[in-house]
Amino acid sequence: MYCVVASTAILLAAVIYLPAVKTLALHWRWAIAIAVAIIVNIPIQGLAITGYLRGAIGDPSVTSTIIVFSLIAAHLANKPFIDKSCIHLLCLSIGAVAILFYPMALGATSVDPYWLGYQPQVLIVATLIYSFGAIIVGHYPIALIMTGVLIVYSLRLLESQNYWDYFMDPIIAGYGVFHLLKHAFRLSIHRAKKPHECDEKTTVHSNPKAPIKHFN
Amino acid sequence: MSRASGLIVLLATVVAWTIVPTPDTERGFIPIKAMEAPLQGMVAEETSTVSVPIIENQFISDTTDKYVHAASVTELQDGRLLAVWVSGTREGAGDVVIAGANYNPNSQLWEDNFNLVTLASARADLGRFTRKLGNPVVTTLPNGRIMLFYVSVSIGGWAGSSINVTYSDDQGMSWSRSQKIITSPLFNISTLVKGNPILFADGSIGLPVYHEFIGKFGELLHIDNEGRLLEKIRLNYGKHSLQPVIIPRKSDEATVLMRHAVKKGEGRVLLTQIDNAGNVWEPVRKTDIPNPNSAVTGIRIDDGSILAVVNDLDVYRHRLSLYRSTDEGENWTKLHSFDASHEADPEPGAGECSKGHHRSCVNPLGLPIFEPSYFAKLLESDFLASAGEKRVHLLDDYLTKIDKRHCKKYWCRFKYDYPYIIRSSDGNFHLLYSWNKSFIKHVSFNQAWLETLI
Repeated sequence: MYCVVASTAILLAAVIYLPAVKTLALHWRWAIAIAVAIIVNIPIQGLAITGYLRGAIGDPSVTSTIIVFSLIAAHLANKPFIDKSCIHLLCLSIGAVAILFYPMALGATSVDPYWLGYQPQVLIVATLIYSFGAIIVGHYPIALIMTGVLIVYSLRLLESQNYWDYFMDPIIAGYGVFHLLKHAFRLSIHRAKKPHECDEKTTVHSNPKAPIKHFN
Repeated sequence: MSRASGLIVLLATVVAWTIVPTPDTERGFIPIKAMEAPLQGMVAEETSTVSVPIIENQFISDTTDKYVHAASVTELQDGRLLAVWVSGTREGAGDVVIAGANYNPNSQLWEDNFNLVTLASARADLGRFTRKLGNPVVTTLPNGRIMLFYVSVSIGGWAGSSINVTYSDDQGMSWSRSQKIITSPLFNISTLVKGNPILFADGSIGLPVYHEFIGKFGELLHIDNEGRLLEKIRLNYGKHSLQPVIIPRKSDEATVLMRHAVKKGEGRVLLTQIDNAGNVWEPVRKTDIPNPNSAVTGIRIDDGSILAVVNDLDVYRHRLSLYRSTDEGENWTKLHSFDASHEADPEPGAGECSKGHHRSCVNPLGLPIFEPSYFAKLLESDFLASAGEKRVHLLDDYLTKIDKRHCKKYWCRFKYDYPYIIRSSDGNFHLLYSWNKSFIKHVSFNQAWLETLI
């Protein structure tokens, strides 16, 4: 059931965020959303469109599913349910974990962090600490998303028995890594510019009699 | 708000914590003899009465135009054998099925083939797009449940593989819905099965698998008898080891043999040792048996030594041989060749293999290859020696279907690979392998035959 709901949500989000649909009146967006939710679950030659998506990406993580649902709800209710900065911070956090996690889990080292997900006491404690950290800095929705992860894991609603698969998936991880790298790139550009600015200032100070340029 | 959020997350944490599975640290390997004789007692008692050396061959599969490969076999509660393999028009084709057949120990013949899993049934059971099916592995639990693990691919090649499980509680008459086993965080891709499952004392299963994507390495899945994955242990890492075969020695130690995935001519059967938690306590190293990047199989026998069946060649798979080690894989003695390519003539290595000049020759890599009409004659004699009485009538039809399973351009070659060995409760050994990708061949032999070689 989880997989059907999660796959439907992803396909629904993909459609209602199309530029042509995005700008429609609210009642049309609702109509399209309902139609899409039905159509993607109609079996064609024994398999619905959600089944094809599932074949390609498997079951989305709980984190991804909640975020996708919040995006859909924001679009259909015309108001954000989860603050964008929270989603951004969560994705960056996942991206930071993913940079090390995926290469190691795919065999780059003898240590397999995916193994931790089968008896995930350590990961559960880490989730709790992360959630309290988010609460302290005022990002309550992150704590609630993590609560969702813990609850769905407790119910084992995914096919996977591994906690990692409830916490993150390659799509949200890829999004997080991309934005992490973007931030890192911007930071490096910013730092690269700074010495140049300092040089200019130094030059100005070293020649106090130089004429002051005025820009119009 | 902060207090409420904190309480909610704390509560969820406590709930999740309380239902985290706790690993059974007391689990131990079931000795191999008991493992392959689920309900009918230990093997040694029955083997002692057998004194006449026996070795018999027969084909299990009953099609002449299908690509068949990757056989596995288990003994059922009632003493019959169940063999499974992939069958289709070519490897990875959309019509590939997991086929099966039962061996009747009374008649000592294999019965008609049937389909266990088709692409359509896999899609329906798994609720997702599935493009092709691959290696199956089958085993019987002490409670009589038959577990069938098989590979499927949704997207891409074999690197996109994942494992599925289905089981039967009525001797294979009916099967549960297949379930996907999630073994990898990256879209669950790149895990395949080949080696014999092992059983633990707590009733759970150890399924040796291998990863084949960025790296090539072995892993051990710890699975409960419902097919749920409890744990996954990495046996090694890197890019060169595949298809582990685990051979328990004691309840807490096992020897592991692996296929060596390297360039032609450089491969050797790989060896390591693990404990019952899957922890590797000896680095993976090469044995002195050549391995042309092909699957191996192994089993422990009564005297504690190990038998291994391998393609003991530097290139290709035109010979399949039996080896024995008395020191946990350090040193090996060759005992027998089950199948071997005919020697090429006029003389091995003579000049280039050019069409019309030779009816057979040895190509630059050392593979004996044969001109199709000459190959057909050799194949006919091999078929008659291998097929057994129930499949011999397929000969004429088969000889009209010499195709790309055997030949490329103007030359044909023999191929015997993907061995899988078990021991049944009557003490006999059952070796299955792909015979020229055209038939699944069953070789059964007893302890007395083995003793004539030792």
